[in-house]
Amino acid sequence: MPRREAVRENDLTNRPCMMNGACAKDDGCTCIATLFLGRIDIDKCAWTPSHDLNYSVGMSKTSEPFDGRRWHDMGGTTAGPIPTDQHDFALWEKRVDALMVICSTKGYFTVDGLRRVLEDMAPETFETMTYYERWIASVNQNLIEAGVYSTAELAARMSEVAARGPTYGEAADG
Amino acid sequence: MPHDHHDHLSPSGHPYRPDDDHPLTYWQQMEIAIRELLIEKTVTTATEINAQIDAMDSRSPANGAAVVARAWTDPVFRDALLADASAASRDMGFDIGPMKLIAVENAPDVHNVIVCTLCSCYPRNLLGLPPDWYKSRAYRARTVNEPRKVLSEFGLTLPDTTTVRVHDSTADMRYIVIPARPEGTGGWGQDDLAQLVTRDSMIGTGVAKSPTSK
Amino acid sequence: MAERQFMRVRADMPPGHVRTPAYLRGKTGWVERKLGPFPNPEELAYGHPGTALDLMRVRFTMAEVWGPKTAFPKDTIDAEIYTHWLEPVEPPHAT
Repeated sequence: MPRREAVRENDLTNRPCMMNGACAKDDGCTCIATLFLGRIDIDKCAWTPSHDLNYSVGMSKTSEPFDGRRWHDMGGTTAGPIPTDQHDFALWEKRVDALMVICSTKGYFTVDGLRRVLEDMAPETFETMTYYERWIASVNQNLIEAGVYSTAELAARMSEVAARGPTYGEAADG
Repeated sequence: MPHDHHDHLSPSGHPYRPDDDHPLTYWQQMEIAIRELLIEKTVTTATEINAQIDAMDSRSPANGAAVVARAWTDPVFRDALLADASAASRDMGFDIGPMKLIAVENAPDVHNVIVCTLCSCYPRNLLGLPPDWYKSRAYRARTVNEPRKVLSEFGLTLPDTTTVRVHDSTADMRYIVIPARPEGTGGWGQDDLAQLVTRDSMIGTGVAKSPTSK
Repeated sequence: MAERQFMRVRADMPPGHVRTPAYLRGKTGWVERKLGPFPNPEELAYGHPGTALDLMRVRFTMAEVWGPKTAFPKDTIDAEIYTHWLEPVEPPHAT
């Protein structure tokens, strides 16, 4: 079983474990499975699942044996009331959407490639990451798989971007 | 100094998503880096990205409303729409790209509702991007096994005699509901009728507005 | 009126990217319409060319999917299923 890693940026002591003890780590920490995704918003660690999560094999302990059903396959599962919150999309979200459409239209990857990576993410990411955060993570993995750029190139560029300034507006003005 | 959007609503009345003047997130950092790499490697251009954003922004439920209103008034078009909704939408001048669209029609005893349980497939190339609730766990999980309860949360209570048809958008098709034409709209033109066609009525979580509530 | 072609969805539970929802696996419905060939998403997802497979809209009753005690057994669910997930079956006895 892959060991789950949490990015520790803050002091995590005394925070409740979002997994209610169901996670695979044995030190009572507030981990969220990040696997290849890298980093999560540590402030959301107090989140408690309101439903029965179906963990993927190897990701976490679970109270029932895994029956093969994957977390994204939600039809017919128990869930709460339909949320009414609505937001307008930010520019960076529209850009993620546009990159997905352009790159898939040009054949760098398929919509099913996008979905495959989204589905392979840890179940918690559906609640801990926003829609377009998950999308950019998937677009990235698909582009690396397609050989458009390397992880090293991305790493270097991300560091450059962050060095430009602390806000999106400043960092986007490259 | 950064200012705050919290006290402001967008023209559509929804809060702005924190963006330019909020601290850069890891995923925004990644988006900027990827976009720049794609432009440098001539996969795309800034112009092309902006054009794609403009194209998506130009799509809205008004497009679908025009299609529905025409189907209400033009029986030949209605038949064409039911036979091939992609072709019929293109014939009206809508750029829906490669999207394959199926129109399902409500009847006095049949109500249709659309969901995507596996992700959040939506007829975005006609209606624009989906509402947040359409992508929610609650809507995706519950619509296939308790559609009437879900609809009641949208304020729509159907008689027991109505058959509910749920369409799970699992593969290559996208769906639009043709809601029933409201009573009391005899003689109305397509433009006026289109004003009665809401986004939710084309997803099936609502019905068309009545002329008195217009 | 044409005879309904009944189909049972395979009850397999493979890993990986699949577009057949788990709640329909093992259930029987009838072909609402045939949509023609589409590339297999289970191959596209991993960067392979997709083998052309016939795609069908299959209609299931709520009673079939959720059991006879479901609140509105005659309501229906339609879903698009690729033919490699479908097995033709004899029509069930009239309900």
